[in-house]
Amino acid sequence: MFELRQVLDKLVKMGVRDGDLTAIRRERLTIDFTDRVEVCKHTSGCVLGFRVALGKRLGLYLSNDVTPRGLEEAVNTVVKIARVSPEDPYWVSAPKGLGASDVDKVYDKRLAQLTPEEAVGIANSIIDGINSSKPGVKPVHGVLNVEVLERTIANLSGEEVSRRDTFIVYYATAKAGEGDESATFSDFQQSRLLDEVKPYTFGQDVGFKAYEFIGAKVVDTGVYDLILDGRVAASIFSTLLSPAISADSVQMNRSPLVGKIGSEVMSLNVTFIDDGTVPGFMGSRTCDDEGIPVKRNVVIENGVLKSYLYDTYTANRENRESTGNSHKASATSSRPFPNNLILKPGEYDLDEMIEETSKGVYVLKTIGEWLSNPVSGYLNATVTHGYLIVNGSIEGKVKGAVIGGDFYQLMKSKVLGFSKDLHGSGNSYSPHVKLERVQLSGK
Amino acid sequence: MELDWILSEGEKLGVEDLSLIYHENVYEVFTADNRNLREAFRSGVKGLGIRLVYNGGFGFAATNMMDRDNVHKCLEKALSIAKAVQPQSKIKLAEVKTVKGRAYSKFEENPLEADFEKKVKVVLDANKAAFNDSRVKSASTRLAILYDRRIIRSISGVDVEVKCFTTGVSHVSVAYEAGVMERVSHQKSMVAGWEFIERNDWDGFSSDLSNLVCKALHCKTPPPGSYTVVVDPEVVGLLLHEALGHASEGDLVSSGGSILKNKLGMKVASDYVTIVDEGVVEEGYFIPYDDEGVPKGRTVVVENGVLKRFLTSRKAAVELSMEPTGNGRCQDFENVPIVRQTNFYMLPGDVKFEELLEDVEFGIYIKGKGATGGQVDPGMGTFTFSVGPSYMIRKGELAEMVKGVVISGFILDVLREVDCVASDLHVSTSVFGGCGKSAQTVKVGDGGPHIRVRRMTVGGG
Repeated sequence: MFELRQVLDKLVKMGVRDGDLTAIRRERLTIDFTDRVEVCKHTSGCVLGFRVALGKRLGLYLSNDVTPRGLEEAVNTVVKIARVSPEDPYWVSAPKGLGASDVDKVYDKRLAQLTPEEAVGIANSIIDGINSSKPGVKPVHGVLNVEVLERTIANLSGEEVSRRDTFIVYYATAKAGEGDESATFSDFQQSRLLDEVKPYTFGQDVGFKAYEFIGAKVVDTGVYDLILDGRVAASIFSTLLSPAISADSVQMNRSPLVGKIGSEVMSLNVTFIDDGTVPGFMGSRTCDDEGIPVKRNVVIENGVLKSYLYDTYTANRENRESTGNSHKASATSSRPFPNNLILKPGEYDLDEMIEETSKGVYVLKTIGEWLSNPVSGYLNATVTHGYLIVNGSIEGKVKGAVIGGDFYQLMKSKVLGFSKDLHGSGNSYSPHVKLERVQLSGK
Repeated sequence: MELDWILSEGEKLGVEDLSLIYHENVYEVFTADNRNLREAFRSGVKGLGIRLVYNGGFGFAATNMMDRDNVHKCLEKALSIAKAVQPQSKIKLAEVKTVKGRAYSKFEENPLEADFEKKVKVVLDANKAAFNDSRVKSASTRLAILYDRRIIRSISGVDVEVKCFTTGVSHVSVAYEAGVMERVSHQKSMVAGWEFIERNDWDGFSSDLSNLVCKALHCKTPPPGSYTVVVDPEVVGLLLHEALGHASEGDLVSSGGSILKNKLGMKVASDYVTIVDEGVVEEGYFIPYDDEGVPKGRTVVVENGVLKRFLTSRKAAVELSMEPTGNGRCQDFENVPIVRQTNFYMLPGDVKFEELLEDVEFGIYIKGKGATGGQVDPGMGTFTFSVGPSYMIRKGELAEMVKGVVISGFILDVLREVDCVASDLHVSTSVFGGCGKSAQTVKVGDGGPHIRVRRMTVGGG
């Protein structure tokens, strides 16, 4: 493709002594399907991201033109941007000490070599699974995405590190019934390895759920014990907690956790870990986007806030080490976020959690939880699919109820317990979470 | 960009349909954070997407390596994919008559050529102006410039080029007092050149947002319930785009994922409601042709409450036995055009804004400034939106501010409850965000007049 070192040499010739480059090569296979495969597409490409510092003056540039002429132009442009930028008083230097941790199951050769025919086969398995689930259940829409990424990070101190990642993610929506007597259900499956996805069973499950929710009723407004499905909880934590524990939000005074290190911010049974080294998790990687090895970071331990997450820039501001949490947008602009945000599981089975509930709702799916406010800490989510629990057993299906409240209050005073198993939504992982006496707004 | 040879090569391979999109995109963003220039960023991306139909199979491949060898490989890849999926699906695309056109958005000064120092000054000054109250603890301001150029070619004779500049500023202010932290964000963009940035008061823009967030800090959230609401054009746009616009997209209709399926010619809204999708509108995004080279005029989707048309791409048009409406759009050269809205908005009525309030005894004036967005299930017609700081209406007049307002419900119920439409009209677009569908983001515009809805569910939040 091109040699990163040659580009760095060009920068040096122009007087640049600090900065880093990120080269990303990407292959992506995508299939769009309804009740048949509609579109299959293959894209391959590379981009080169520049972060160049002249003293404390910074320039960022991203280009996908890696011809000699394109690279020449990129180098000239980024240096020009840095020259005329005002100084950033908090800039110290680009990361040093690049390296990689040992992390398993982040790259799957079979997935990297998946052919369009094989991908079509996976999509058809999902479609078959939905069609075979229940009479009158049809697939409405789905997308299968297989992505292979190779990333190299090099700095002007002469260090270089590479990592490879594979991902397979698909989602599907099924519809059961027609008109007023209909219901839809959408779900997704995600993995780093081909062997770990089960498309046919997944399709069947999506179909069963769509069928099951025909005739779901809007729940009565009231106070209920809630069991949040692990993936619903994971999505809520990703929206409300991930930005709040980013050192960038803290330093910029945009986090409700500012100044709370050492304070009890959640219930004693709550422990949140950030860990980029867990084999096969979606956010696992050998190094972060700046090339710093990832590690395990304790964020909240037994309810007490222990640490924020740092990239090099935010770490330098506090004269400490990066925690290996850089995520770069457009291969240039770094912010710290969790690699994998993990809520430590508890000791319950889901069945036990249901059996011990006298009046409650098991929340299977929500929409809008990502619109919750991480600055004020206010949670908002609309339940689209839930099970009404009465005296320890499931008595019906519910929809259309709004959960609202102060997230930190809920996590401090309403937590009853967690299930043994972990469920993932993107790079956020959670067990099923049981909360007591939460207000639900329905009819 | 020399593209003819690719079309000739494709014809030799015996394809039924072949279209190309060559795409160039330059994006500049300047970010000021807490009185400091945090980032000056520029990206330049270009490449080619090849879409073809071979024996009923649909193949797509894309590359950013524009030399002849790589482009040829890309063509072969698209063909091999079409062959791979061919047994599963027979795809047909609606015919497009030979369309030749060049369309460039209007601007006075090329914003990419404006002085770099001027851009930095605008964003830093606006950021500093936001600290107008000791309760403002954090402020982030962005200035963005987007240049987008697309060339669409096909073996049926489509030859279209569209160029567009968009500029804008976004800002978020965060305030804190007595244990309460709140944020308000907003953006203002225009399809225009540097003149749009120069002629607006961005210090006033950010300072107003700081005033708003300070005022919102300690105001209350209305109790959950059903209210008469007056909705401002921004929320009308958001609501229509998300809850009705997506449901009118032909691909969702044909796959059964839309609540509007089998409702053509039926009443879906009150008589006051007329909704259109239009490619070129004052203050909207600039889409004179879609990414299949189909001219995008005005499509009347709902007329006086009756559902008239669905939006279609060439593929959806065949599936629904309709004409293409110019709504086949893609994010970039790496994506296939799918059915997308362009500028989706409600036409104005003939009532003044004040008259909407007059006979509201108790209700809420729902405002978009500071809204964080929404989510909708187009198959069920349910929506939920988190809107900005709003105002109670008491005895026909605006009263105290309320915050954390979330509206939700079923879109067709809401549109049937519209009983008054004002004569004002405001459409807007954004240089920062866009509309997401099937992992593609495209620029859109949306809006409408102020409207009144007799009953809408308002949740607390």
